[in-house]
Amino acid sequence: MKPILLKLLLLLHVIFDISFTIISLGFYTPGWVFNLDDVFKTFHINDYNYMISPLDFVGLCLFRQVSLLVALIIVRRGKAERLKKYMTIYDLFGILGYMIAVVKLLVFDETSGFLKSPGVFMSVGSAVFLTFSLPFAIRKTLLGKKKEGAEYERLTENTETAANTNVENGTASTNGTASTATPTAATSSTSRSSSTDEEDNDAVSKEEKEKRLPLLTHLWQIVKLCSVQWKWFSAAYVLLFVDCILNLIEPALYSQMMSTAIRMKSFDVLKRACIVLAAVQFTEATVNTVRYICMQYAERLTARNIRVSLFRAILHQDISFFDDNKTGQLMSRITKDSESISNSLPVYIETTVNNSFMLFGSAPIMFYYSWQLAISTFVTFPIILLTTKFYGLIVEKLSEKENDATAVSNETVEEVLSAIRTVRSFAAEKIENMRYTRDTDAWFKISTKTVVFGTFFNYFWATMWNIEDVIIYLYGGYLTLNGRMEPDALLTYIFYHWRLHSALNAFSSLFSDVMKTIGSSRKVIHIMNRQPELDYEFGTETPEIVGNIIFEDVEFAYPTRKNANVLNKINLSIDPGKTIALVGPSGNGKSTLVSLIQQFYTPQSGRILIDGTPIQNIDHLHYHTNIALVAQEPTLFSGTVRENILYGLENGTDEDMMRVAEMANVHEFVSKMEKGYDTKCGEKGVQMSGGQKQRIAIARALIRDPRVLILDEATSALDSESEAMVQEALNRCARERTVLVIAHRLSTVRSADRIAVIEKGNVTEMGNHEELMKNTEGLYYKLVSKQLDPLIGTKKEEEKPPATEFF
Amino acid sequence: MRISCSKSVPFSDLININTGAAGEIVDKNDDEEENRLPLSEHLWEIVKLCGKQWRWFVPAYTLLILDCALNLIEPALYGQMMTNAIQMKSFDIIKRACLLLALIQFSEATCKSACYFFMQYAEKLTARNIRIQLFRSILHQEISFFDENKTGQLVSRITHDSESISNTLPVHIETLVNNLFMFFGSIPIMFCYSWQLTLTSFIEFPITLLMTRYYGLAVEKLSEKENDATAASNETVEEVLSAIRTVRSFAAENFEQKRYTKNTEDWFKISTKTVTLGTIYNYFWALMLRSQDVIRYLYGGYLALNGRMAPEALLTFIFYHWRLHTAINAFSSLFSGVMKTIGLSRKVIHLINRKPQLDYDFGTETPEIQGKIEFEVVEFAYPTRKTVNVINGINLSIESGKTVALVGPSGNGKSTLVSLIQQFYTPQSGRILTDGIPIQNINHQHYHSNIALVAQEPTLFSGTIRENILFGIENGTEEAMLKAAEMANVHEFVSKMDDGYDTKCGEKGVQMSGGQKQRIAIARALIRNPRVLILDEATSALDSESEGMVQEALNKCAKERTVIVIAHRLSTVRKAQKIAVIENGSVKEMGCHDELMENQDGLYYKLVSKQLGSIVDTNIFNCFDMLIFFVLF
Repeated sequence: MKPILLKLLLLLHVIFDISFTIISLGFYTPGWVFNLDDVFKTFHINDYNYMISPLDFVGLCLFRQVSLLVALIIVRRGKAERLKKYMTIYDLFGILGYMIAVVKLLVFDETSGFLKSPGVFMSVGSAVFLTFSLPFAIRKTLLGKKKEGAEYERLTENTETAANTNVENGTASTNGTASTATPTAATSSTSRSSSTDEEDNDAVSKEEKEKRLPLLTHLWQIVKLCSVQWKWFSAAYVLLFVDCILNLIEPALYSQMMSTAIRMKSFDVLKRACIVLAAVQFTEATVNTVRYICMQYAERLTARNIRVSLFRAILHQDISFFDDNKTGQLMSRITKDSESISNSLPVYIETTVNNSFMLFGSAPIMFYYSWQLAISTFVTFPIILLTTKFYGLIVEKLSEKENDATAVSNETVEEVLSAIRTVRSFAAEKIENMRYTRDTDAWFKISTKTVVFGTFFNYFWATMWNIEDVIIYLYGGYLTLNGRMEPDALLTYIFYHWRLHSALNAFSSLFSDVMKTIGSSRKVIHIMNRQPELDYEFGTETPEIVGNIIFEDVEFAYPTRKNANVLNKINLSIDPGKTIALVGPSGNGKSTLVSLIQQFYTPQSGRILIDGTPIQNIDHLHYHTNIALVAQEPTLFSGTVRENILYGLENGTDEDMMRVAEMANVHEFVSKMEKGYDTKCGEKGVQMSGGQKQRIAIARALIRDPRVLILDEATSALDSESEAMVQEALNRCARERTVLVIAHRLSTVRSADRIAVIEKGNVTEMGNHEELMKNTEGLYYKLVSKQLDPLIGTKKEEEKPPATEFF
Repeated sequence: MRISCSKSVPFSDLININTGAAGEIVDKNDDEEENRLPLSEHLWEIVKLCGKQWRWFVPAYTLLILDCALNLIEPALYGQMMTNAIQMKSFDIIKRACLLLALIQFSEATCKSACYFFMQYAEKLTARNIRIQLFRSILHQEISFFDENKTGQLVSRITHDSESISNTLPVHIETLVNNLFMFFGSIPIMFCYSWQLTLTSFIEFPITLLMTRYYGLAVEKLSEKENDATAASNETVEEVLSAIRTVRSFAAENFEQKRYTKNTEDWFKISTKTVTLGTIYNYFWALMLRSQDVIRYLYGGYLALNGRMAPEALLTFIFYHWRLHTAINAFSSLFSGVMKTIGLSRKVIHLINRKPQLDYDFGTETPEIQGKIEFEVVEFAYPTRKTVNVINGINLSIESGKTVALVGPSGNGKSTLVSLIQQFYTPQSGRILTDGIPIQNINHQHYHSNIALVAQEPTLFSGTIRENILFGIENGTEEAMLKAAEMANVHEFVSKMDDGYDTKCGEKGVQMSGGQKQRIAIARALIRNPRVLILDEATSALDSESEGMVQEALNKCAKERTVIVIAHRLSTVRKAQKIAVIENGSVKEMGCHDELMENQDGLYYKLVSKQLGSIVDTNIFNCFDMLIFFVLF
């Protein structure tokens, strides 16, 4: 039913076009009287006179019908895809028809009294409307069938089309274009939207494509970010209106002053005009200054808030997010991208308001002084709008790519500089330089492309306006010399024309800058909107934690390697107050168990309980106050030893710090340092040895007095003496808490209450040291034997004296 | 350039604050303070950086001048057309003037567009080159430089600061050329039309210049502070994000959020100060210009009405005055823009100019390295703690082809010795020789091809396993990689992965376990077939079985090369041909395992005993066996 309705609509368009065009020919005499003779007179080719004959409109009608026929033939031959490519040509035809119609109106004005005929307006109006609506109608009827295939895709398409149309309608109405221009903008955005979709399929990853916001929604997000400071912005905009009003008064005053001087009028008139001008300008300067303060203050406040919000959003993400996103990229988002938002949008809004006011203020005044000149000024509007729109979309794409390229090179810089020792060790400076050069060249290539597009756009824009200027001066002078326009009026009109010119120039820059901002801010908005898959603010319960940890049928694979299960339905129970050791070959899941207990990731299936409560239900802060981790490679921050031990505690005391420092054997080496606990650790603790770092990390964990203590190879970098001292301290702590140990050293493992052997994500053996040693075929026995082998010689040597002595 | 009737000064253009996040102001380094360049020299450095693209800038500026010349013709034509229209003269004159105007405008548009392209292209090219040069310069610095400068700050320099240079200076030069031409072109013409009116334009000029100068200097200082705040903030971000697991483990998100918020607050304060200063300056400027306008119209009208000036001349004069007006406006924003550029680029220029205290390009010799390493009375203290000697007059000789183990308590200088061999630092006194040659004389590339390090915490990069093993090698082969991987026992776990050697390691190898990382690092070292192999706790994260396999492979390699081992495990140390016990930066004991065990008062005996103490039960078990044997006998 619906397709038939659309075809009927198309047929109606054809009938209306032909009939109305011919009927309007009969009204080319004053008054609403249909004159059949005029219709026939129009078709007398020999009597054709461009100045008075409406035959041109018939030509336009014929042209439209032929175009439609061609489109029908193409579609009937099953080549709708080619027609889609030709739609741009149809848009250009629409613009051309519009220009012909408007110019024709001006030409008719040359004949005195001709505009009193209603036929003129009927012909011009219908020509403009029908010419613009033809591309639109073709899209809706002939190309609409292509979208009947995938319902999902069509839904997405419609959403984007609607969003783009809204944006374009806003832009078009902002520019004050005649309402008949709107369909062109809408149809253009439809065409562009299709093209954009195709590009998106190639460029953007699937997940991001699903979450990629339509243009209008995205822009609204940016507006919301900036509008948090609405009080300051409101004040700024109110003052901006005042400023605009004052600005609109000035051209008239200029004209009055100049005209007085040129016409040799009295000095009193000049004085009065100057006084008024001085008052207006002074007021304008004052208003502008106050507005500037409000705007800038709001802008900086917004920048501050965006950065803080973005940092908070990033901090909020789950750990797997950081597996996928490199640090350098995230840094780029926080500084460069967020800067684009805060610096750009308030200025764009200011420009929009300012110049919109100029446009809507100047346009009526210009029409008042001379509607003929005003019409000729707006003749070239549609073609400028169309070009600007294409350019804007291109700029958005390029801006996003440029920012991506910057993020990639930042990633390289960050990775190389933070691992400078490794780079230096392997003499890889040249290779890293080449890598960075390649990344920067990628950015350079995109930048160059942007420059090329900008160059052509600017050239086109300048040329169009130069043509406009010449037309105004030529036509205006002609009107004035013929006595149909007052010299003062012409002068005033020209000044308002310049004001309009500036406003439109500003819109031109504004549009590409806005698109640039949208491109730049895509990633920022995406991160801020991203909901972490594992939200650490989910849990709310704060039970007393005793330390009973249970894994029930837990399966887990890392997000970056979803097909490889690291844990395979593991079952493990850790009793409260006990020390349990996890041993096994490297890469078989021991540290993964710890990551899951730490809630860095969520298992694919199964549950992890502590004291019977699923761990995701427990309040984040409460949980990590009671469960502390000393990692395999502990990360220290660049502050002092004191700051590192007290890390994350807001009310830690020196007394607490000293106590745990003694326990972790930190005091032994810190006391030998010149600055003691105020010694700086260096970036990532680089100025501490491995053993020193581990001891500080142990102290940092102990200061929280956790109920569960996890030691993931926490003493591997300690010498035997230090390890013994720390182990003794840990053993004393272990009496009151659950301790989970991952280690390879027999000296660390053997004193555990229970030992679990982890292999391929499962527990293959369980028991204490003596029990496991009885199973000579088990993995534990093998691991221990390997460690004992080097001591066989020593053992044999020790055996000799007793034997000898016995004998 | 179009005539703009708008009287409002474009404030946002005047103060185009390219600000970043704020933070605590970073303390200036001493050597930076000493090397701070005077203003003119600093500006010249920037010009040189941009001037390297002269092939593009020259045509750009040439076209710019042509554009200016065409622009200077337009006001006269405007005046002529308007006056003719107003005075009802003939249409032919208007037509002729319009034709000429159209021709000029077309030429102007062409010149302007071409100029824009050349300028922008040169600008982007300059940005590219500055970044690459800055990165190379930073990469060139000695390791202690990185102890003092945080990574986040350096990243900020390469992106944020260097962009400020390339984006701003060429534009400023363009503005300068453009408006100088307008200025010096308009003034003579204005003099011709009316010298009286022209003079009134310069009445307030000195006051304006004075105000601008004070403002410019203030902008420079504020811009530098803002950039410092940005770098400090970046440091916070980088540190927190790269250690996100630790932050999450300690539930320190709010803690870090507050820290970052405080940094941003600091930036905000500086920004607000800048805004206030800009506001005052702009208000003053706007008032001066507006008062000039009013005077101009009043006096000009007076002259015309008294018949002392032709109406057409007045109109034309006013148009040229607008050009002058625009030019002076541009100078105003130009000056503050330039000062801002100088402030922003201080740190960048400093980094580019900095000479490394230890230049890895210094050495040129490429001797055949056998592997004998000697320390002669070496003393060393870290640059960040100059008064504490970590190495105290150490003497140590490592024979070629031997395996030497360094043992001792944590933090007593073992890893420092390795850093010195690696040429990360320069000792305060003494010499380090390789085969009799001071190591600083040996070519950097050659040296590190023959001496390989597997560090205590090996750093992997975020590429694939294959890329990590082949790191730094430009023509590595698959065969060589597999051989090294087998030796390091990497193949054992890689073969179980879906993507095999194309598995990604994650940022800093975060997706590998500690043991896996160590094995990859060992493979990376072995692939170079080095004459000297340094293992700094290289197997501490391996389980016994893996360690056994790797140790066996390393033992085979050791037959042909010098091996330096730092470890705590007896199983690793015992096989060394020599063991040096390091304490307080000196060698306390030296010898093989058996020799050192005889000295029961020595540190080595104590360390080993502690490790053996853990198997007392085993000894008891052995005694029990002896008892049974006795009974049976």
